[in-house]
Amino acid sequence: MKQNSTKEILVIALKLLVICSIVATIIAAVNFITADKIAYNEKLNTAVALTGIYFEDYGKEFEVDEDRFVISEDGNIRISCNQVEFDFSSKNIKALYVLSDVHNNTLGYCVSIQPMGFKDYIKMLVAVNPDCTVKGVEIVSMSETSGIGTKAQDPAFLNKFTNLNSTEVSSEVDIISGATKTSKPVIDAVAASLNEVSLYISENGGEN
Amino acid sequence: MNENKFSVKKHFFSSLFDQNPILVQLLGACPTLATSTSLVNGLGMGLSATAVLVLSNLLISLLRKFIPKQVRIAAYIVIISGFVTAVELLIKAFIPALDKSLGLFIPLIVVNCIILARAEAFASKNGPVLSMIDGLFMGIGFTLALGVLGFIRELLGSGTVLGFAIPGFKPILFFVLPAGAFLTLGCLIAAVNKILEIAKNKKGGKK
Repeated sequence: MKQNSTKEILVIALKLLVICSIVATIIAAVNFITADKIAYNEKLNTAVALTGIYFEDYGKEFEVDEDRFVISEDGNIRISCNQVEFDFSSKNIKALYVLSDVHNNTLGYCVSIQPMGFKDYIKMLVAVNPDCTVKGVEIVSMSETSGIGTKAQDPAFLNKFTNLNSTEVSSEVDIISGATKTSKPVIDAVAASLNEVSLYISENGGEN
Repeated sequence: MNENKFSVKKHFFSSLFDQNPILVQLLGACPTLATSTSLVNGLGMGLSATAVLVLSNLLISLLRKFIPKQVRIAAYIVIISGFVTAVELLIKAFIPALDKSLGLFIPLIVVNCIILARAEAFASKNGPVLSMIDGLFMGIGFTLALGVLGFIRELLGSGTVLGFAIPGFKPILFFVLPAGAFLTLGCLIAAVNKILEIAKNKKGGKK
């Protein structure tokens, strides 16, 4: 009797192993198909969001590479964005890009930052001028409460940040009433991005 | 136990109405309340859940003689979460707009009791083709209920339909919050139950 039940348990365990292996194979296969496309979409999102900050109208072409992407118009490169290696001071900061024009002059910087909102992470891009003031803020994605937290992606709110420096961002931009848990992380993230860029500039002696 | 006469048409209408997974069977209430904040979110969630339902019903049905009875729930959960992960990756890669709006809610499909219930009640006892059909129909019933709920909550709570604001309408914020979700769902269930009762009496009265 005892031996039987040990055998039974082993058989059950083996069967579970087979089932898990089948499922793992399916997931691995899907991941193989989708991994590159997902990475590409992330960069594309960044490029599209940046276009919103730097250009009045859309209709630009994007070229995405491993650690850079390029925004062009009529075949002419307008902005080249290069991802740089940097030891970020906050785990919320995902990437730092240096933006240059076709003559390699630094146009500015872009920080991809993901603070925790009320429900989930808020994916944001903060475009920074060479003097560490805000060029623009773009919310790439958020899952906050419809009608309340989503107010934080209204242009009316995001435009408040333009041309402010880090201290001004923290003191002058008001939290959206009723949406504190969404708007405060956004405000803090913008300030953190500006600080990170000034840190990068001081450590890299003002870009070329 | 296989039914001798499986009527596809009958199963379709029963999945939509008198056996509707949320409104009658009261399954999957948690993700329903969370994702029915707008019409698009509700439909997107419903369709994603339907995809997972069909795929997991298929695999579970194919493996039904292999899965040991003592650990069947654990096996179902592994299979369901595997497909949720797969569907999430596919959405992130090929329909990024949907990923943007649903985001966190897609992994929530794993805790959707409808999928586990259909696995236990149908897929573990029937062939693969029938199981896929059952998954599809139950998924459509779920999506329909989510769509109606999402439409009502978006209209009354945000004053918009598919994102377009209704001019001159002042929304009642309550409806996009959890308490409003409970209330709306409750009213919807009551309404559907009443309609089903009337339909049943009519059928009974005919004879």
